[in-house]
Amino acid sequence: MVLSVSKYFTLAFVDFREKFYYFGAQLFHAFFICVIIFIFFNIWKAIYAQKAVIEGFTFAQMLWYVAVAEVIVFCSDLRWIETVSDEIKTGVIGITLLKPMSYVLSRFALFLGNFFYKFIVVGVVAFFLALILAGPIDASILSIVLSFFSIILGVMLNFVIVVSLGFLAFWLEETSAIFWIYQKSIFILGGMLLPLDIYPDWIKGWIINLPFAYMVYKPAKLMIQFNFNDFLITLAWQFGWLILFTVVLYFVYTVGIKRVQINGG
Amino acid sequence: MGVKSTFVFLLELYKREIASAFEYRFNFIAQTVGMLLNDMFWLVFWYIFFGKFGSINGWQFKEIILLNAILAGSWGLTVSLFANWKDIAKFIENGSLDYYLTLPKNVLLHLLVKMQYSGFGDLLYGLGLAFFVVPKSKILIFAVLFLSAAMTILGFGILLGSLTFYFKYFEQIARTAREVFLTFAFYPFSIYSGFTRFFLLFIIPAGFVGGISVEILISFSLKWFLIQILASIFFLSFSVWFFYHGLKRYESGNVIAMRG
Repeated sequence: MVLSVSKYFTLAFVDFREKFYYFGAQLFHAFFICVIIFIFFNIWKAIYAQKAVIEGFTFAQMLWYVAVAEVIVFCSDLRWIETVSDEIKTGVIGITLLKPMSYVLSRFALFLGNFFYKFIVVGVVAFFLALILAGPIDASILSIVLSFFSIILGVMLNFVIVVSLGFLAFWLEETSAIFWIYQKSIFILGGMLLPLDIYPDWIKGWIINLPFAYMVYKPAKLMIQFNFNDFLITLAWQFGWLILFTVVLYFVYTVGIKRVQINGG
Repeated sequence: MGVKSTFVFLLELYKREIASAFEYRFNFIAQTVGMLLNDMFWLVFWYIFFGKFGSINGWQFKEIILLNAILAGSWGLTVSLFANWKDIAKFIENGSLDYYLTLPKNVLLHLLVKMQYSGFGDLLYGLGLAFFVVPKSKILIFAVLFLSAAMTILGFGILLGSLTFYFKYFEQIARTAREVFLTFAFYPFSIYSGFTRFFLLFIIPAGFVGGISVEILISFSLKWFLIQILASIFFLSFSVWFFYHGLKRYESGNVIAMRG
């Protein structure tokens, strides 16, 4: 009963629909992403003044990469580390346990609802700006669909890691430092600001197969420069990391949940 | 309130804040060290970037380190001492400003005082970088620019928050505007030109909390040094005036809240 899929689907859909009541608020976030794209437009314009192609990226591809990577990270909502840890600290998790649904799966449903909503609102604005500033790039419908599938796997991978880190609140009083460091790992090691192709080989060799790269860099690069071989390799790594971190999440949850104390009320 | 009584009042407030930091020392240490590490990630990013491209419109890795020193440090200073500047809009919007109005103290000063522990991480990071890159002969100029940047950040924050007196539901906009301000300030100022540069100096004063300071430190210009100081004094004074002007329009939220 707890694993029945339909209730989680309903939860995700209700959350998705509810978010549209706060449409204006999301537009402000979209504005923020636009500022970042504008800044990188200026940075790359200065850099590309001397070269036409950098590490296989044209100016248009580079700006589109920044737009796609920014949107992926923004819509993945890394703040779920704090959301989950707050639910543990405030006791909300105790209330959720009384319901006939899994805590983790219910949060996954809300997370996905949130992701799709943000992707539609923020993504449209950000990609429109990229189109105006850099013009279109070559991409087929099939490559976009397959790349989007890889994005979703990356988002799921992010979810299991983020929730596992949030569960550290079972033991730690303070988790905001974990959030900051994880966020910057995504920014730098995940290639949100720069494609990893720009990095020196010795650093790239270390970070190219870390989970961060499979959340941002690989899916974003597939969207910009699709290659079926890369797609299959990326998928294999994403599934591998996803399985590993799901086991970690299961372990952290089953050990941590025993620490919950409910005192009536 | 006179200057002396204001000073005594501030001293008492900070005594309590420090006592609280000692009580929650794990949080204090975790947030300070966490923010320090968080900031250091940016150094890695810029090291990689400039290692690959050398410079952007004349800015090199050295300029970015100076920018980080001034921006992170001055931001950290304001957040370490006056963290509530980031929440003025929230206080006005949900009516919790009432608490500060009932006491015979300087409303804005009382409202602002709060130590956010992560600010110490930023402050340490900024001053740590400055220790390595600012030459001894320019320490005084750095100190003035550093304080002036902190005043501009504080002034801009108070101004944004105070707009809530006029626009009611402004918290979300104020937060986004703050992020935009910080983001613009964070990247090499040399990438902006024309109207964008003017906009970032005199509309959103992001240029005064980093870019202009770096350019002054690299190549001293008395004109820009004075403009930066005057601009920061203006932004802070105007925002304080604007806060009290807006306060006359404040309507109590009848909020009942516990203060721990």
